[in-house]
Amino acid sequence: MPADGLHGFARFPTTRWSLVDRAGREGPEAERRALGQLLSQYLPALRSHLIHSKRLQPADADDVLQDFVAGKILERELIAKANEQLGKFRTFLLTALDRFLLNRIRDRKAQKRTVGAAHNLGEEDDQLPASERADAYDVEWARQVLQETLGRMRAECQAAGRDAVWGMFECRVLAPLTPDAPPVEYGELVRRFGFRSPSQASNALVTAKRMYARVLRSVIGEYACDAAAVEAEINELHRILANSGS
Amino acid sequence: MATLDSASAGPRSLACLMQADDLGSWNAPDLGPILEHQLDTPLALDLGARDQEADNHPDSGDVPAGAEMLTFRQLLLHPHPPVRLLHRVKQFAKGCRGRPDGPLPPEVATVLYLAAIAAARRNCQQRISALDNAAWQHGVEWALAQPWLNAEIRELLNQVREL
Repeated sequence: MPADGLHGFARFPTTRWSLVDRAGREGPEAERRALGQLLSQYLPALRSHLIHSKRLQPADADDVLQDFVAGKILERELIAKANEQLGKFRTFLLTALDRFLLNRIRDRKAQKRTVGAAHNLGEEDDQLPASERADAYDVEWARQVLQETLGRMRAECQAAGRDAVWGMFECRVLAPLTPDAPPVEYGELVRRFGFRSPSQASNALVTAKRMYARVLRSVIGEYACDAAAVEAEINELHRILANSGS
Repeated sequence: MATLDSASAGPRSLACLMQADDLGSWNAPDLGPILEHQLDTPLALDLGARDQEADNHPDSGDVPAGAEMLTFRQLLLHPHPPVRLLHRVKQFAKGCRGRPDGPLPPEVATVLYLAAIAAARRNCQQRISALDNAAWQHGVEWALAQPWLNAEIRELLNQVREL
């Protein structure tokens, strides 16, 4: 199984937003394709934002997202306004979605739709602080990054026949993060993976943690511009997650 | 097999995973089984095959061919163990103690370190450590207080209360 494309996380460089702009030079169709791929990567996070921060029903959120993506791709508005110097594409996209939603609410009000419908389309959001508005979106994005990282690491271990490395990571690192699930005991690990000595077991764990750190940086490196930006993104996502409750 | 469901895991769990360097360390219940496993490990797996430096050492004459195939337990409890091998075990354990991501948890490495010194003292009447008696006794008392210490090593350390 190829390392890329897991969980719908399309692979850099074809999806980095600055390259979408470049794709535009090949013609509108190439640009639309590239932008479509890029946006699809952010859809789960945007959907989470609409449901948790904007209080939309899931079906309404899907409708808004579908219109947003179609509209942005067709109108090319996103590319026209995007400027790498303005900040992260993730933030830019969130702002664009919020504006899109606001316009949609205004349009509907203008068409004299019911107050209830307008309410369902996110009016409550105005009462939330900006940091809270972004929370669900960033948490969902972090979740997507981690899911992609775990998926790629597992695939890499399987492809290389390193089942013990993945197994150690799963038993010692992932399992204890699940509530009420203790780490798998040492004796069980030895039986399961056939380690001949504690050194072998420890080496497998150290290798797993290093591989995980490398894959995580590789995934983030597909949308962050350099090593410093990767580390900054890891720290920021960690902070967002740590401050987001249980 | 248990795994983290990252689609439903809470943000705090995911935060830990975002900086996973400190995750996965061995816990107290693991120390006893790790010590037992280490004692059952052939010396050659951790010390390597017979090394040239050891062969050229003045004491190398006490290491019979194939002795590296003994387990750590067999060496430590042997009535006449090769001192050179005990010295190598001591050095291996000392090296493990100083490495955060080392092959052994520091507690197990410390017990192995003390056991090698004790075996040399009890079974070969030789000192392979520069520790003074106070430091030795402090170390032995710490080891004897560990609930996961097995009976054989406990007896060995109990019999060498002074260097």
